[in-house]
Amino acid sequence: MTPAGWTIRALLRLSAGLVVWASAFVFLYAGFSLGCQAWAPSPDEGLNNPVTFMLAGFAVVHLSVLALLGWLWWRRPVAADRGESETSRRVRHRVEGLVLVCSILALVWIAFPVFMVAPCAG
Amino acid sequence: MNDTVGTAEDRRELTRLFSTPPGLGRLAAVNHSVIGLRFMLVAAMFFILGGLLAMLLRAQLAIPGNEFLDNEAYSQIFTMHGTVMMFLFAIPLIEGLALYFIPKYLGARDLSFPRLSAFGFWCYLFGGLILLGSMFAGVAPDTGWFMYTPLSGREFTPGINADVWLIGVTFVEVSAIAFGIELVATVLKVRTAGMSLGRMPLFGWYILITALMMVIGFPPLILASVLLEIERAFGWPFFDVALGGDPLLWQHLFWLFGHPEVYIIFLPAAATVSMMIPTFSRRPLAGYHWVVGAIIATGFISFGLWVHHMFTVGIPHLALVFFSAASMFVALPTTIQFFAWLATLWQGRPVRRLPMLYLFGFLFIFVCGGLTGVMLALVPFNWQAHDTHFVVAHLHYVLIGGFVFPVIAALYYWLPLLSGREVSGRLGQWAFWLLFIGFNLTFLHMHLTGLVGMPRRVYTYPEGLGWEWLNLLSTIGGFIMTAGFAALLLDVLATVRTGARSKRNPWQGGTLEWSLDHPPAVYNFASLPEVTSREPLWEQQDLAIDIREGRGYLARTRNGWQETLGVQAISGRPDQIILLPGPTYIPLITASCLLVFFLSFLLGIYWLSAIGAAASLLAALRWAWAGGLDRDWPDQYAGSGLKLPLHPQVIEAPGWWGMLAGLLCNGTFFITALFGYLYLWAVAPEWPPESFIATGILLPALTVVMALLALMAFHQAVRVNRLGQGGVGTVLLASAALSAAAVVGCALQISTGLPEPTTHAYAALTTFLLGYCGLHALIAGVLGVYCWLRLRAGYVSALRSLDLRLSRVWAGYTAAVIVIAVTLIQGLPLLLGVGS
Repeated sequence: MTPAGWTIRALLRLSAGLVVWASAFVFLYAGFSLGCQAWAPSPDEGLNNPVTFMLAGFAVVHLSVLALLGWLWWRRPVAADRGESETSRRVRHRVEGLVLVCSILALVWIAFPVFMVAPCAG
Repeated sequence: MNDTVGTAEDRRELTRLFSTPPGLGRLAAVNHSVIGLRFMLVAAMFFILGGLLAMLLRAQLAIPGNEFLDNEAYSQIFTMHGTVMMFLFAIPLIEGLALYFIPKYLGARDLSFPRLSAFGFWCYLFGGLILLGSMFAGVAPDTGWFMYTPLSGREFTPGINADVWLIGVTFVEVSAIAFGIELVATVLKVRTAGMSLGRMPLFGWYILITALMMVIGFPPLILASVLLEIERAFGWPFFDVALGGDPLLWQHLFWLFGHPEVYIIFLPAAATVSMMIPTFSRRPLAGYHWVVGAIIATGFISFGLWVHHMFTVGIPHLALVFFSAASMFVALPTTIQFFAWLATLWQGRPVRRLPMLYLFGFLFIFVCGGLTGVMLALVPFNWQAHDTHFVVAHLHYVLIGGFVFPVIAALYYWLPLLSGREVSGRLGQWAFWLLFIGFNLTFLHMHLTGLVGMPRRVYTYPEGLGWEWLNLLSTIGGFIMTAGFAALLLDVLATVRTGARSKRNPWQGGTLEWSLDHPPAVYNFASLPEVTSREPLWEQQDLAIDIREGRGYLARTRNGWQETLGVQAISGRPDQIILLPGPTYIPLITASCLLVFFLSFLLGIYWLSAIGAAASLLAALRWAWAGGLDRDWPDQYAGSGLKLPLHPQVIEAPGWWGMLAGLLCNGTFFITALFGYLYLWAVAPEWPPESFIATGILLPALTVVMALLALMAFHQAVRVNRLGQGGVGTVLLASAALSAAAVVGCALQISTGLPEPTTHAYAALTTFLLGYCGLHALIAGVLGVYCWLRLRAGYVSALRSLDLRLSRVWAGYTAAVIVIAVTLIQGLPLLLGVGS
């Protein structure tokens, strides 16, 4: 891998969880807007409608990706590499983990209303 | 190795090389210290202006039925107060702060692109002067600092007031984008040896994330400003409901920028806090990696809150809850930073110094602002408090508490370094208490003013509503705060002019900037150190002496070069010697050409505006021409037995990162435009239009093919050049011709397949997107010719291929946007069954 490729991969790893969170946010917001245009379920239907199912699907898929990233993070070795000391690598590893935890919390926090609010009301 | 130790003669030569010429030569300055100070000084001037405007507003509201200002004057003043404080004070001040200090923190002699920061300064100054001039001409913007449509449209604002804002602010934003690109490349590449990402001072992390946020956060506003200006100038109806537009699109675009901007302002202020608290606590910051994670999280999550500024426009409940939840969640990373600061104070041995007093003010006021922010994130409360003085109080608690107080603390903290003078403290303490008391007297009960119903942006109010005493108190508080700022200014001026000479590192800081002379030499470091910790001055004894006496990297001068180290971004291992440019007028000339473009557009002289645009492009190419090397150089000694290549001869040069950052910005602009396109399609009431694009399949297909072939030609040019084979020039000319064909393809789609852009927002946005693609293809073609000329002039070789590789990246981006835009424009009507 080129030095530039290594750098980009490292920067992406640092922010990977939040990139997934951002993707989830876009899918939930856009999916809800377009879903309500396409299906326009009545608020009386409650949560039993295709928009809620779709949004729940988006949330679960993104949570699964975050879980996968967490597993990969757990298994990743932390060692000196390409001139970077082990101490420095360990700092990056901890930041990656913290960002992943933060992303999971943030996703659960913004997605739980999908399971509580009729999507197209208001 | 003795031959790598710098001498007094080397330091004299470094001074000569890095100095700014006297007299008119000052206009050619590119040194980061000079440019950073200029940014900060001009921003301070605008702060005084914004403060005076605020005093006028408070004087007007002091009593009911006041006739001191009329409605029109009041509207201009509150609009300019917000505009000046946000765009001409806060953002430029952090730019100046970062430009001045980042190289000093990272152990570098200058930034990655010194001319770009000089260019940014001139854009800022010219844009600011356009806005300032409009006040004296009586045509200042008067529709609020967020320029909501349709109020800011031609129908309700027929004069040039709104144009002044759109053009002035866009000009200033060019500066912000330049800053973002500059700082991303600098933090990643221009550091001293051993400074890996894990050893980088938190200041570097904060500025890196802020710069990335600016690169991504400003394009939505630039796009919105461009669209509204085109609507006002040429009648393309992007925001006109009757013709398929939607005023809410403006609000989305504005707040997509507007809310992250709060964090763009806060993060650098938090950076200064994270540097001061460890110094005054006599220990490293607790939870370094927690804070880094919190900074990254803030950078992302702050982009998911924008709709909380639009809770009252009529949005379905679920969307409200998404944004309400995200707005509350962003408090989490901010809280992590607060606890890290408190833990540092708790575990350390804090000493009472003047900057700490201001940090106390910051902690108290910003926490209050944060809490009212959480209140406003709650939808039912937001509906009650929206557009009342509660919001005015909240935003001032956040911005003055979260930005002004820490910046004043930082001013006192760094004043000995900046001026070489000692801070006395007496008047500074008086200033603090006047500011702290005055601020709370102005804004604390303003929450109540809002809760009892006083709306924002009203120039007067009748008696008997219970608002009289609240407003009078706020006005008294405002004038006390002004006295505090006057005392602060007096203290700083007195310190700079008559203060006692400061000793070195008076606060006993641990980061590299305190190893410098007070004030720093123009070249910062006589030699560049190898660092082994985040607080090298605490951990590495005699490091400051070694730096000054030339026992480090690049201590010797040669060939009249200005040199600094470039490192591998992650490990901090030196991988190149970066050659820095000397003083030049080209940034000023380029910014002046842009001034012609913007000013003549503002005045409606469009032919002159076109000349300004062409001149800007030529100036930019002349600028680019001045870089690079005209022959291959062997690796050079950098000191400590290390030999490194020069930056034009390495793959990962700063320019490569600058191009990536620039394209990230450009890509955000493009994606935001696509968002606007899809948003109108899905939401705007007057859709679908009467007719869609009708070009047939051949023309768009040919356009896409030409763009892809141009990319392949650039790729081939890079490959052939790397292998040292002939024919590079021919391939480059072919790439230019193919790009030109793509331009023609875009133009023909507009002219033959689309209705007039004034007839419907669909036609306007489609024309805009195709125009964007055509412009990029045009630039790709120009780059092809430029590279061919560089090749002929000897600036390109197998080793020196940066020009070719950067042009290839541009061509790749161009091909991608053409494929996406053309597919969307041609495919969406077909997909939805409405196209022909």
